[in-house]
Amino acid sequence: MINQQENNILEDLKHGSQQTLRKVYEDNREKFINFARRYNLPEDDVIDVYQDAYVIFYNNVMSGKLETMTSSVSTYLFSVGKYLIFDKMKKNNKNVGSNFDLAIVRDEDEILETIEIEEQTLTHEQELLRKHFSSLGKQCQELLNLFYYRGFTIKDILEQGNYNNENVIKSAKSRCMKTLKERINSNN
Amino acid sequence: MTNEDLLYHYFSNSLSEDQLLDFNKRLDTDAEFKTEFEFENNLKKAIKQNNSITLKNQLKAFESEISSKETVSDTSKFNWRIAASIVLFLGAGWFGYNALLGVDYNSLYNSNFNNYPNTEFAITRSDTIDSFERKAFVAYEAQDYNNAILNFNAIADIEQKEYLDFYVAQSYLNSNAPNKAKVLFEKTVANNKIFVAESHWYLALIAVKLKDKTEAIKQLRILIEDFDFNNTKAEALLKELH
Repeated sequence: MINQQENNILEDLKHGSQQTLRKVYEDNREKFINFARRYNLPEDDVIDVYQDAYVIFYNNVMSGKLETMTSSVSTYLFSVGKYLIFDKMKKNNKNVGSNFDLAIVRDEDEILETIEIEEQTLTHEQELLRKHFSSLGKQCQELLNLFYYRGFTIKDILEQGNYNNENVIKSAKSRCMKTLKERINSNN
Repeated sequence: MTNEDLLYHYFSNSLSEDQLLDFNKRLDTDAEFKTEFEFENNLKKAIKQNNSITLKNQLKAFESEISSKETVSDTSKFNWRIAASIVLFLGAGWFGYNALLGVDYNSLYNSNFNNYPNTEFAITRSDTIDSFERKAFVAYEAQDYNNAILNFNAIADIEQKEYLDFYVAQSYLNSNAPNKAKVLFEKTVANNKIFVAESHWYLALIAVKLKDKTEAIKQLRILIEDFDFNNTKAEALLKELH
């Protein structure tokens, strides 16, 4: 059934399939553009919203917030997209119009519950962290990514097969964090 | 449990209930713990932003490739228009040739038909009211079109929405009932509010399915001339039909 297909997509994305990443983007792009026409946004803005919706979808898959699909990926992207369009129109002081289904922004909406519409601008400290995180070695970046972006446990990381035991992972993480803190302190 | 261990469990979403209580307590009373938590939480946000930027750049690269492909296809669209003029000029001779070759309607229908996704009703796990509309869209998304039709048809008049006819038509089309679908797509066009262009596209496909070439051409021409939906596909299909 459809949910099994959608859940297979989630699994492929979690395993880092670049082919699925692209296919899902391409398969839903035209549908999204056609659907967004009713809001009379310039096409560049529609593409921008589609990409932002896609980033939110992908982040939620990778962080484990979205573990199973109760609707199709298309519906998920449309719901997030609608929210972002609404937000964009509100920011531009545009009339939302009768076509916009306000019911979509209900608090109990499960899809929207999984969306984190975070401020895209980072604080000074977060920006500094981003800069120095990017200067770390590849292995440290990958390890911290697994801990903080994917929300992996030490066991999950061990199962990936890049480390021999849990203590090695703990020590490696401590070293990475130490280096990161030293670099930040030397920047101040 | 050390501060480090407690924070590790927090960020790997593996805090037990007792650990959560301990976590909240330390956050309120232990300044060192709070500082370390804020550092790691900021790191989490920074890493997420880093990944978002990388992905967005990747999507922009996909988009550039798609746009350049579309430019190539626009060039061929222009050539097609010239070709179409020549075809019209040649008149009867061309149609005689075409009739000899024939059109494979089934294959044209199958290669062009895609079910329209549910873009109107967000199905939520937490919905307390299991309405007919919800049941209908759940069945629709599960490709259980007979059940979808039953539930769509059970929606009370007072709860009718502008988009419902379109989805009932989709369900009929997927249940191999093109004539029933046709009536509802025509109604959607006549109402002229929502899914009008989309309905012209599906009316063209129904005509292809029913081997009604004149009607298919009529619907495709309306779509190309008056709307901005599936135009590339409509032009390609028109070409195949000639």
